[in-house]
Amino acid sequence: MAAPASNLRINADRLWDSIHEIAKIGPGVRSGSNRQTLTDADGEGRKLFQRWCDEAGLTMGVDQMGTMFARREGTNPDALPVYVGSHLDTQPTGGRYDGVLGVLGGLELVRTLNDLNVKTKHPIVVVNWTNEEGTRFAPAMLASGVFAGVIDQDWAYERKDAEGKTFGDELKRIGWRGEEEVGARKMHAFFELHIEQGPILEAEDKLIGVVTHGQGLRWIQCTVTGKESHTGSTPMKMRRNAGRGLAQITELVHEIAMSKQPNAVGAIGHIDVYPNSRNIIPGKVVFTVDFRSHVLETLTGMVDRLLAEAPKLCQALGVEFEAEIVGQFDPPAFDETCVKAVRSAAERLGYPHRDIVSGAGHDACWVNRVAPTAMVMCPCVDGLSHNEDEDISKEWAEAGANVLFHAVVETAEIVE
Amino acid sequence: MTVRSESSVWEKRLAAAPGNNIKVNGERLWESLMEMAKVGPGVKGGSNRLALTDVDRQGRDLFKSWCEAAGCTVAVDTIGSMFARRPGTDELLPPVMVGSHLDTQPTGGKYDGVLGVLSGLEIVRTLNDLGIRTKHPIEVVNWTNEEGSRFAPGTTGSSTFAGIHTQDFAYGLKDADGKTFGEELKRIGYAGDVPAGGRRPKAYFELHIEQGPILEEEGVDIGVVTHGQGQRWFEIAFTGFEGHAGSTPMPRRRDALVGAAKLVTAVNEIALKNPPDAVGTVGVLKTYPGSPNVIPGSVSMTVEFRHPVDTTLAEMKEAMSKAIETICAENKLTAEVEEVFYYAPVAFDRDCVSAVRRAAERLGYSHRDMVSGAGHDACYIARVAPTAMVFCPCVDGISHNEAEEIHPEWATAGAEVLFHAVVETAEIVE
Repeated sequence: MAAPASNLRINADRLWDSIHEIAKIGPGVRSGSNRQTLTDADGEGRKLFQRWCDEAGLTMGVDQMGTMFARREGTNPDALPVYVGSHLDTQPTGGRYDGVLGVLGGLELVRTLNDLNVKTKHPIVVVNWTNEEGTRFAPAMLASGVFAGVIDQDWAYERKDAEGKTFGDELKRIGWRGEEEVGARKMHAFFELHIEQGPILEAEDKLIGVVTHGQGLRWIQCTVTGKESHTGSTPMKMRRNAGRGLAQITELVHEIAMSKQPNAVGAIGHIDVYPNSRNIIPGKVVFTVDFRSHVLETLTGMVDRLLAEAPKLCQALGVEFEAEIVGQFDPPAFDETCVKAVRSAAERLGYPHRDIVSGAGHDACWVNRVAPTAMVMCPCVDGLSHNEDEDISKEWAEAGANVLFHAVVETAEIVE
Repeated sequence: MTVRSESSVWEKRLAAAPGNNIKVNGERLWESLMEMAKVGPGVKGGSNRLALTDVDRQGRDLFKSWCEAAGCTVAVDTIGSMFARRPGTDELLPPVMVGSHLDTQPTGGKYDGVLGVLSGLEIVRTLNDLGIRTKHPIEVVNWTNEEGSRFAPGTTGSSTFAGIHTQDFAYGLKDADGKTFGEELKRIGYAGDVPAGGRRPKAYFELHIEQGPILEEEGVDIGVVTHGQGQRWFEIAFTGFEGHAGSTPMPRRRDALVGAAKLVTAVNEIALKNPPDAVGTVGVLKTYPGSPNVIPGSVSMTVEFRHPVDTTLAEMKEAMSKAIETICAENKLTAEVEEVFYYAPVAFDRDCVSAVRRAAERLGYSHRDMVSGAGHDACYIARVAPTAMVFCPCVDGISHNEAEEIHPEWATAGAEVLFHAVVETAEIVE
């Protein structure tokens, strides 16, 4: 059998210590982390990770996007490696676990293999993807996007931060621009452990989320145009109030998402009201509708319904409606074999688990386009993430890392 | 106020009213409007004559020269409001005042305020042309800083005259550069020595463009303004819970914008339940953190209600509070509500309003009673003197905009009604 026996476990104390050791680099102001991509703190975090990888006997490769690949050899030099990892960069007011758990969970499984002197047929490569967060250099998941061939590398280099510094310059400055061609590596499989960043697992007392899909996304930018006029001297019946269009479409978006439960979400997060003055009737409102579903037909159905009904609502109000799809991403379905490896690992280890859809975007969503991929999720307190108050328990980290270990090692095939 | 029987007033007024053949000189009025608009022109055909700037001084100087040419004596009070007096046959009687303001918004129109002042001047000019004398003196007034764009709040001249604000308060107002009202008033040479207020005119009349769309829409020449809207302004913050727009399931959401949206609709319904004069508006809406992929954790918004009857205005506030309560309960939100402004409705003087209505009828102009949605100097003067307003239409209801427009015949109609109401009240001496 290529799967590890159910008594094999990672060292939770060591994992937990490493997580809190790296959290000392780029600390936040309230106990979280501020290790934004390609800053000096990111450089220091990478150095620490490299030292740990060196100590574990791994060979480091760095590609032209700065992504780090730490390799543990397999017994068959021709076998494609199994990749495991996530990202070490954080939000400016981020938590200690978002991304970090996935990278250090990968390191921990290699350390455990070393402890137990277990060999695998396929090499295992622990990955730290550059700039997953996208806060300093938008968009998010930049390096994995270039790796998967969906983002152009030159374009990625030209991304600028708020001070006008480019991604390419900053990557060189911190000394992590490698020589290796991006995306040249072929993968046997890719696994990523991540905190859920949502409230479901904790609420349902599950230790493990077996991620079967990522959410697809549509961003629809809507513009409602009425007529600016004086709030005091314009009678109700003579108004063309764009704010009422926004109000009715907000309720419509909510209603559309509620009609597709539990497979869909919808919200309007960003609005601009013009002129946004207390005694002027809004003449124009621009806002972005965010629809997500892991089912493509549901996703497109929601957009279709919005585009069919919003103009009617607006017409009844005497205002104009225009819409443009400004962002779209079809739902990724993760690899069946990899997903099964995660599910059977959770069962073997006796952890309560459930299938789950990833609401947020992850490096795994891009890598899934070029390699068989799956994700493991563990709970996080109150579903809170992208916040310094992000928190998980050591037991949750342990369960996640154990499932990751079993899925990766089974896929990499233990050599007896 | 002395109680008089309606009939005796009626008879007296009829005796003192001008004949319906008496008309103002519409062409002269229009020329004066255009001449004044050359002082502090805007960039798109309107006016930029902010209070207490050099161009405001030039406008005042021009007005003063016109008044003096018409035989008036011009007095200036400590707030800079100008009173151009045409003597009555009985100088012991209180004057009938008529006017508005010559200051404008920074991108204002040529008629907002100016029409009221120059129509007052046109009354005097017409009386002179016809050699008509009135028993009561007539004073044409230019109230200082009605707009409040440079020194907020506005209506400084009229509210100080009405005793609402003190001279110290007015002098302490600062513009964006930190210059004070008092310094700037002195600088332009219009800090007069007549105490502001403390006297009671017989009546005050103000002609103003409607600044709304009703008269034009209905094809009516004259608005007989019976009330000024009472106003209540609120600032409301809904708080829910900020969450990831992708990974937070719908049933667990506490989306503050969904609550705010329901309040927008409720505010509209509350206003529609109190037709025809109630209005209700949400003008400001902001989401926090305002990111497309974050569920709004809070929304701040403004609600504004206006109604001419105080009790109805209070009922509208009550209905809003109930709606907010329901919205919070149904959407798991909390709300903070602060009332940031309250302005009591103004009911204009019955006799003065009748004088305006009668004037419109005598002259054969179509007219309707209406409520003033915007605030005016007349709303303050109404607290110390019998007051009424005349509205004329403006194109598309546009005002506070350089595109503000009226037709000469609308101005003439408004000025004629003003003339008849003022002269009737000042009593023609046969």
